[in-house]
Amino acid sequence: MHNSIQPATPHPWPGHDPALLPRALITLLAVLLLWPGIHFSELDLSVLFDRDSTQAMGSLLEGAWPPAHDSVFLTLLWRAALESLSIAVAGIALALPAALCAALLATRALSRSAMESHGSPSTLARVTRWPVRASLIVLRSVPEIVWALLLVRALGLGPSAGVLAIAITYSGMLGKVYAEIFESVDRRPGNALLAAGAPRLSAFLYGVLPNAAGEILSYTVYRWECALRASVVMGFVGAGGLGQQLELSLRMFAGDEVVAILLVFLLLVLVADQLSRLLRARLL
Amino acid sequence: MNRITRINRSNRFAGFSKLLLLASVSFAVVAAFRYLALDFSGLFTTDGLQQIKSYFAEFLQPDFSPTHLQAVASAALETLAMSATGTLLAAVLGCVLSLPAAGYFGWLAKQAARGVLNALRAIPELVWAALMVLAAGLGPNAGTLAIALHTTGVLGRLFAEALENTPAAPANAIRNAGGSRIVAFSYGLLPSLWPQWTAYTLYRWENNIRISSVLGFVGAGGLGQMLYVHLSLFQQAQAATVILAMLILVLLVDGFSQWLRERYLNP
Amino acid sequence: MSLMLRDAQVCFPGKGKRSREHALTDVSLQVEPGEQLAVIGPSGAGKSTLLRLLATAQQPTSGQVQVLGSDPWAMASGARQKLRAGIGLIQQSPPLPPRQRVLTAVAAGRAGQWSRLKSLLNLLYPLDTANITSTLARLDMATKLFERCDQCSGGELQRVAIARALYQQPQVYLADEPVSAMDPVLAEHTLTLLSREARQSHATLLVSLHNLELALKHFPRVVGLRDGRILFDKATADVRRQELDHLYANEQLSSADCGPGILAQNSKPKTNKPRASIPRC
Repeated sequence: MHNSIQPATPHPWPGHDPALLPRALITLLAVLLLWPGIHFSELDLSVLFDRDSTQAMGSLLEGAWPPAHDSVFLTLLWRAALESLSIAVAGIALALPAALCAALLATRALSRSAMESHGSPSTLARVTRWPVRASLIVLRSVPEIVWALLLVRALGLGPSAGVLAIAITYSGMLGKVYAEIFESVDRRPGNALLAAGAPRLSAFLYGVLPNAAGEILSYTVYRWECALRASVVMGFVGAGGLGQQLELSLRMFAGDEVVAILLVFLLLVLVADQLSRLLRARLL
Repeated sequence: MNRITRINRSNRFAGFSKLLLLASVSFAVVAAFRYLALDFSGLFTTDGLQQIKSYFAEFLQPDFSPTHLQAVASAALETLAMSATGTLLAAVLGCVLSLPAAGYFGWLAKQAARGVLNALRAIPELVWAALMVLAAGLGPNAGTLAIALHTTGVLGRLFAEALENTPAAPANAIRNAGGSRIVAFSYGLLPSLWPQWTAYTLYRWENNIRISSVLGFVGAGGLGQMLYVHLSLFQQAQAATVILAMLILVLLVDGFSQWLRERYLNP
Repeated sequence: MSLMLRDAQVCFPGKGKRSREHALTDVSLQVEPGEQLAVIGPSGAGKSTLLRLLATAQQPTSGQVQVLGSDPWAMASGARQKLRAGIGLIQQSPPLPPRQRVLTAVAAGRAGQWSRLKSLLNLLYPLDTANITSTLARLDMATKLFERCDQCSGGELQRVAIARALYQQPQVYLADEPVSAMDPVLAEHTLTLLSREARQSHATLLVSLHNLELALKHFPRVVGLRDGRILFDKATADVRRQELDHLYANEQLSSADCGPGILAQNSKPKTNKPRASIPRC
């Protein structure tokens, strides 16, 4: 009965841990990388505690409470908040159609050649889609604030640079995701229309869009929330809105104004978060 | 009959509310454009268009001279170091704060830790950077600290969520064999947690490489500062090289981080 | 006295608002040091709760518990942890982290005896490979030393849990269905080993078993548990067929291999964990 239980053979090298070498190497690598990391990032926490910087922070924090609340400043703040909000809305509104067009060009859904060969599209189709995909990558990989900086130099200070910067970056982000959504929804209605000889645009409008619309709008609303944060941050390079105010107040060491602006920013983000949650619940 | 009319009515109601939604969204869009009073007329006059065209055309001839490339490379290295060191610092701080935030030291500590994490996370990196430039002076140190502060907020929350969602049975078993809390944590929870925590950190690093390349706009060193300076001096050719370097850096880090996650952190 | 229960009750909050489900009702039990006994009974009878109660993993709602001569719930938590180091609980589905290596999982048995520093160092480099290897070898698991727990089968995981308890060298072994995922030959071998190890170290052994034959063959004393009450508690030789029939009455309706009862499910770890979404803006 007990034949199946062999006395266990001792491990060939008792005490030798096979994970030891990889672990040691990873630790060594980490230490070797840590040194240049700290060196190049000039990380130095002690700077925070020396006389000059504590004085600078002290003078900022001294007048920080209560936040600025005189009516002139509040009007200014209200206008700036509204401007940030408008930049986000207008930017996304411009990005949406551009992204839809780009996604239509980039997506593998509605590919005639793929439908015919029951799988991957033909080489020609892939070669023509590639530049669209590449330019979408470039559009979204350059941070929006860089676009904003470039456009401020071209169009001058003010919200137009912000709107265009958001439109450019977010058409890249949205375009990529839209294309993925088109590919993920049920392809049969679209393919059926294509097979019946419909042109691709109407196959898209009647076969794909009805299924994808909810997801697309929901993702767009989610991105709008991100765009709102971005629009505030972009103000730092002169693209209008709350950020521009914040930069001015920081420069003037007006702690009370900084705190007031930050509070308004938090409020704005919170409201946007709730609104986007509500909209997305409705859309899906 | 009754049910059918009710369904019709509810359909009609849903249609109506969707219409209302659409109307208010389009109203918001129109209002936004009206409020901003965007003036793109400069884009459409031949003169203005010509100017903008020539401005952007200058970006198409990046400066590849060796001296400039060297400067860009060292700024890129600075950016990379800022993002990596900042993320690492944030991961350590996030670990420390995630334990109270997951309720390990009582209700009060939990609320306090969550408050701190939320505050850190709510303020964007660029604002932190502007503050840190005031506190720690110009240069990459301020950028590293700014990234560390914001990312601590993000990672601390994610770490705490992962901690709360990890089964506690293995750790309880160690407690039942007489182990101390810290030993129960490191034998019972850490083996399940560290891959998740590392994956989150890598994700965040991908994000932070983008951020750290622009923190220089407020004086926090790296590629951003270089770009800002060149654009201020109207040196579009040099600026184009910097933007190209940003692009390459972002794509490289994305690829590397994705490879790491797929290779080593698959469940 | 090694283990003692007097009128112990355990209740869990039920489905209703104020309803409570009695997992154990008025259970009294005395076990002498070095004694070996089996707890048998149908699914949902409260076997797991009884073992968790004795292992100080579960506090009684009322009644008295004494383990190794002291009441665990009357002492400070530091002293309780010291007491727990002497209790080895082997659970039916061992709660081992999937990514942990067998070596580390077994080493965790000494968590209560090693200093914190030693335990933490052991995570970086295994400090006692030789003893762990020999413990695993007795269970025919030495080749799995450096494998990860998620690469082990259910039966192998149970043997890892047993190895952990053996490595702990406790004064009381409490094993909850320790061989439920093993084939009959292996189950036989493993129980024999467990009983021999306990005898050699003069430790008490209390095992809950589904399998009647194994219980009657290996243990001189049997406790029958049904619906949270002790039906009988006597020497194996005195157990009558009728009593066993009574213990398992109506069991054929919900065959003996049916899933764990509601109480066992309460203590099971959750396996599906939601992934947090990562905001990227």
